[in-house]
Parts: sequence; C-alpha cells; structure tokens
Amino acid sequence: MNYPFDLLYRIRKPASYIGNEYNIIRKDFKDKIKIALAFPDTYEVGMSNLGFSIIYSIINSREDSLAERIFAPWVDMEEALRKRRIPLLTLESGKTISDFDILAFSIPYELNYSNILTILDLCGLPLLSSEREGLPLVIAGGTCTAHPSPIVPFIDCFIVGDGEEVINGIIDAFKEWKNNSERKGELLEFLSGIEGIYVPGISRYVKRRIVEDINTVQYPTSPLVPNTEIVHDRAVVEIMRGCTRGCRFCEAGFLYRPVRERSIENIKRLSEEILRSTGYGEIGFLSLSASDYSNLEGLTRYIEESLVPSHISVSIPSLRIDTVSGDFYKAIGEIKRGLTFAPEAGTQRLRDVINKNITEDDIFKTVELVSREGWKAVKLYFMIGLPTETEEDILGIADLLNNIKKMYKKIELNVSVSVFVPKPHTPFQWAGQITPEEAKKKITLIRKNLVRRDINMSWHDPRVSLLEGILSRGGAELGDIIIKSWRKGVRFDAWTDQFNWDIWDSSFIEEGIDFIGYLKEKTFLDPLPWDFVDARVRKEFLWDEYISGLSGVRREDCRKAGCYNCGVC
Amino acid sequence: MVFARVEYKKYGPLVFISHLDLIRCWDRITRRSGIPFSFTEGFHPRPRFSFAPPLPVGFEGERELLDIALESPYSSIKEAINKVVPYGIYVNNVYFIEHSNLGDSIIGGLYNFQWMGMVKEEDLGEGLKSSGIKDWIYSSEPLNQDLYGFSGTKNSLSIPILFVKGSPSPKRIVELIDSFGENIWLKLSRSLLLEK
Repeated sequence: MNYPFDLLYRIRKPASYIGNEYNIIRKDFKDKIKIALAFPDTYEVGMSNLGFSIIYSIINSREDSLAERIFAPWVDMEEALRKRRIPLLTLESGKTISDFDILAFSIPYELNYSNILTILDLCGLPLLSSEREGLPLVIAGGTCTAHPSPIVPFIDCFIVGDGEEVINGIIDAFKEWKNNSERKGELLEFLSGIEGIYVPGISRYVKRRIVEDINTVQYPTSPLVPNTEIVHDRAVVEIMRGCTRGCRFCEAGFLYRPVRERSIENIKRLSEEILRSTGYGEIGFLSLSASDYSNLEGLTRYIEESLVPSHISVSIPSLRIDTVSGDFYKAIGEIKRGLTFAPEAGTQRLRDVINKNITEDDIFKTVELVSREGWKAVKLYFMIGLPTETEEDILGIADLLNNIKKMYKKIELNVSVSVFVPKPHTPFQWAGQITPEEAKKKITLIRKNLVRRDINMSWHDPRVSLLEGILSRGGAELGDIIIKSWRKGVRFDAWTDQFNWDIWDSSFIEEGIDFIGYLKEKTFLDPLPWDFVDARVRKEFLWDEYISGLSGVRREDCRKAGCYNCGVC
Repeated sequence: MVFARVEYKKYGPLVFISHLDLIRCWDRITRRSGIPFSFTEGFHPRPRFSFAPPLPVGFEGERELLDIALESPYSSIKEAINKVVPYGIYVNNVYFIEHSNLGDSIIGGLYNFQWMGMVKEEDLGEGLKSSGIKDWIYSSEPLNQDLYGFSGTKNSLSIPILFVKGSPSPKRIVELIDSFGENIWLKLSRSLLLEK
C-alpha cells in the first residue's frame, strides 16, 4: 500500500487507491524510460478506458521502458492528501512524479480538463508548460487532443490520433535525446517531426496518426484485473475501429475513420488469452457499430459455440437488434438487461438531417421484439437543439413515446434527453448550440406533451452541455478560464454532484468573455480553433455534408453505397 | 456435491475492498485457478460460493472461510489458487466437506483494534457500556478482565462480537474510540471466526 492506512481508512472509496491488481507490472527503475500514465478522472472510469490499457501494455512490453498509473483523486482524497502534504503517488511502486521522465495524460472528454490541473498540482508540478523546466515532459493523447487549444498552456506535446505507434516513436526519440542532449527545447523540436505529434510553439499543423491495421499492433492480453468494481468490469476485445455510418453529429464517427476490422481469428485468439489471464466471466466486443462488422456471422457463431457453453457472458454494445436473430440475443442474455436504442430525433425529417438511418418502423420492431420475448425495459436516447429543429420535431419525440406506450402498455419506457453539442471535425462543427434556457423550454415542451405518466424521462443538466460546448469549441483563451475556475474549486465537471456552473460563470465574467459567443453558428470562412489539426477528413467534405444535412439529404454507409471522397482512405 | 472449505487471509491493500469486491475477486481467482468448480444457473453463471459473514472495509481477515462447490474433488486446490491470487489474499489451508454450513456455524468473530492516540481506559470501558456495545461482547471472564482491568492509556483492543441481529458493527467501535480524541489507525483485524 502506497498511502498510509489511516488516510485510506478515512476516505470514501479507498479501494481506488490501492493498486495491486492481478497482472500488475512492476519494473526496476534502473536504466528505463519511466512514464507515468495519468487519467484525469476516477480510477473506476480510467480503468475502463481501452486506450489507457493499450498504452500501458505497449510501454511495459518494452525492455527499455516502464509505465505506472495515476488517476484523479476524488475530492475527499484530494483534501486528505493536501492536509497531510502527501503528493500523488503511482499505483505500481508508490513513487512521486520526480522519479519519471514523462507524464502522459489520456484525455477522452472535455469535462476532464479541470482534473488535469489537479493531477499536475498534486504531483508538485507548475500548471503552465512555460513554467516547467526540465523533466518530466508532459504529453497528452486521447480524443480531445484533436482540438487541443484550450489545454495548450498546460501540455508540452500532444499526440493526435491512434497512439499505438506514436508512443513507440516518442520513447525512441526520448532515448536518443537523453543520450545526446539536456535541452528540453531540442527534445520538443525532435518530437515535432513525428507524424501525429503537435508541439505548441513549434508545430504549425499536425496530421492525425492512423494505425493502418489494428491486427498487427499490440493489444493487451494480460490486462489488469481491478480489485474493486469499475465502470466496464469485463474483458474487452476491440473488434473494429472507426465507423462509416456517417451520423453528422458524431465525433467518433469522423475522428476514428477509416473503418479497420479485427479478423475473427484474431478476435478468438485475444478473447481466449484475455479470459485465461484474467479469469473474467464476461467479455465485451467493442466497436462504434457492431452491426457493421463484416463477419458478424462468424462472431455470433463463435459466441454461441464457444463462449456461451463455457459460461462466459457476452456484451456487444452498439449492436442493432435488426442485424442478428432474436435467438442470438436470447442466448447472450442481452435483452434481459434491457435494450437501448438511440433514434436521437423525434421525426424522420430531422433524423434525415442528422443522417441517423433509423426509421420509425425500426423503433417499433425493436419494441415489438422486446414485448414478444416478455422482457420489460427499453431505453431511448434523444438529442435536442439539433440543426433545423422546429417545435414539430420536439413534439415528435413526445408523439413517438406516446405511441409506443399506447401499443405496448406493459413495457417500461426509459428516455434520456441531452443537448446536442456541435463537435469539432464533424459536419456539424459549424452549427450552433442552444442555450440552457432554450433547452429547458424544449424539455418542458416534451414533458407537457407526454400523455402517460409512466414514461420515465431523464435529462442531462443543460449547463453541463453548455460547458462541454464551450470547452469543445473554444481556443487558447480558455486556458486562463480553466485555471481560474480550478483555483476557485471546480473538479470532476462530468459528475453532476460536483459540477458547479456558477464558478465557471464567474470566471467568464472576470475575464470579460461572453461565453454565448462559443455557441454561435459559424460559416465556412470563419477560422476554427482546430484548423491546424488535419483529422484526415477533408474540410470541404464536412461542409458539403453539413449543407446536405441542412436540406435533409441522407447518405448511405460508404462501405455499401460507394465512396464520397471524405479524404481518409 | 463436495465443497472445498478454503481458509484464507485477506490482508495488506485488499483490506480496503468491500465484500462485493471480494466476491468478484474470488470469482476471478476461481476461474483462473482451473479447479473443477461448479457453476450457478442463469444468464450470468458464476462459481457457487458460500462466504463467512462480511469483513468491514479496512479490516484484515487473518483466518477467513469460504466454501467453493466442486464438480469433483481435486487434490492441489491450495497450490492452484495461490498461484493466481492477487497480493492481499493467501490460502493457508483447504479441506473437503460434504455440507456447506458456513451461514449457520459461524456465530461471531474476534476483532482487534490498534491505534495511536490517547484514550483513557476508564473512558473506553464507560463508552463501550453506555453505547450499548458491551452488551454484545461475548462475555467470558478473562475477556471482561481484559476490558476493564487495564490501567493508564490504551491503544489496542481485542473484543469478540457475536453475529446476531442488532449487534454493533466493528466500525462503530472505531467511531467510538475516535470520539475520545484524534487517533491514527494502525491496524484493524478479525483474527478468528467463532464457530458453534
């Protein structure tokens, strides 16, 4: 145990800070490139992140390097550490950051930004890159680095895109630099030459790094087995990276192109190795859209013939019910957990605008199946504030729910509504975002028009989406806002019990920035704060998709309907 | 059906995992070990376990008990399990039984508290009495003496607690001792399970 017993005994979730997982890797520090991997959210969230696990495994598989982990401490742990003047310690060997060469953040979500500062500060490092001399080098990867401007002041070097190959490039470059120089500037200069790396102040632009074949890069076959429950507590095999459905609002759908599939042989081999090395009784087959995996038949056969008989339960998130047989669903027990479906919009017109190719008929077929099999619950996801949305579309959500409930009285209907956030590198990056006030009106309109009370509707706090929109769409000027708000106490903004909009609001007022500006619609000629990131999808293609969307023109999946020349392949 | 009764230690970092975490942990240990265990029915089949009453979070278990249902007897269970445990669990002994009766046969446990801090013994004795905790302490003579016979200040305590409805959680005893002043806890443990 790295922290004192008495300290851990007095906090809420001590098991998040004990490490010592089965399969943990501890290496001798002598003559190694030492990398501390930091995740700016809780242990439970970070340990469920596949990218984090992949990078941990790649670094540790090298003879010349080692990786240890750090997670953001929950507020009670942060308070306890500050009170006792104990710095953040790595879970593996309980060392402080001064023992490491590189501190590497994985940043999947904009609302994690404030926790980056908590980690830097509790490691004893200055928050600003410009104020840090020497090592450790602070680097960052993960989805958010495709629009890194707001956190540029804190990070020395960004990895944009797939990390498997870049991380090796960084270690090699670091080794060479260490043997020849002590000047950090030279290291940064050196790194900026690697494809997929952006060094603020040196790089003029960055091209997203793409791993060509996910079968040939390393995958963790002996992942850590947490001692306490985490968000996704199961073995995980990524079956496919990327998605070509082309939903115009979806960041992952554009940022992870092109589609790369794992072969069924590779899936089988990895599944068997991981299940053997971990003892997990459950496995998840991960992708953005499992139904589009081209050998779905082979996968379902493997599940039915090998996994189900050996008492392994299976979860396939993002599997559309119309693409496999009801018997298969039954075999893996997925329906029992309750089916999830994301129509996103209430009318066919608006679903065409966003290119979500789900029809009303699909929705009813799903509910019909659930009802026929005698299972209870369906969960539906919707967004409000989508481009071109009118009152009719909002009422459409209520109508759809009313109609389902009318036909299937016994089915428990759970509905989740969230505010649409226009994300960088998507066709909707130019679209506007609605304010929390507008969002409240729309939510009220839906609620008023629900005929039956037994429809369970929940919604995300529109102010959380407001902050997400600002941090997604803003530029380097947000650095000061983030520091200011963090000093005043914001932490874990993605957690509703910690989220504090008033603090953020006061920082904007003090800095004289009108945050409403971040929500405004943009034109093709407006410079975007992420223009220097070449995400490999052509900007003209995105604009064309945006315009097509506004007039309701649908696009079929390019793997079926032919190439639209998005620029990735 | 035959059961393996597993006597194990829960110690070190794993004192901080909850009983639910411990069940998951044993689920994975059992699957990794390759022993011929028996599954439960249903969509999420799991090894069939029967556990001794839960240890509170923070408490080391020096001799904990667990029954694992087996498809058939298997000779080197202890070795098979110890090969695949995380640091913080260690099996000391395994033997076979015909009936799994942990729920009925375990009637209490001996709990130990060790701290740094100044607590007067008469205060402690009085506190245990007035909070009603004393009523639940297994009342054999020597232990009573141990509780009330000391002088000066005290920074450790060992008391047996019976598992009956209404009996205090060992955590309440920690809170009680904390109420006398600022303490630093060094170790909490359950050293014995009391069998019928």
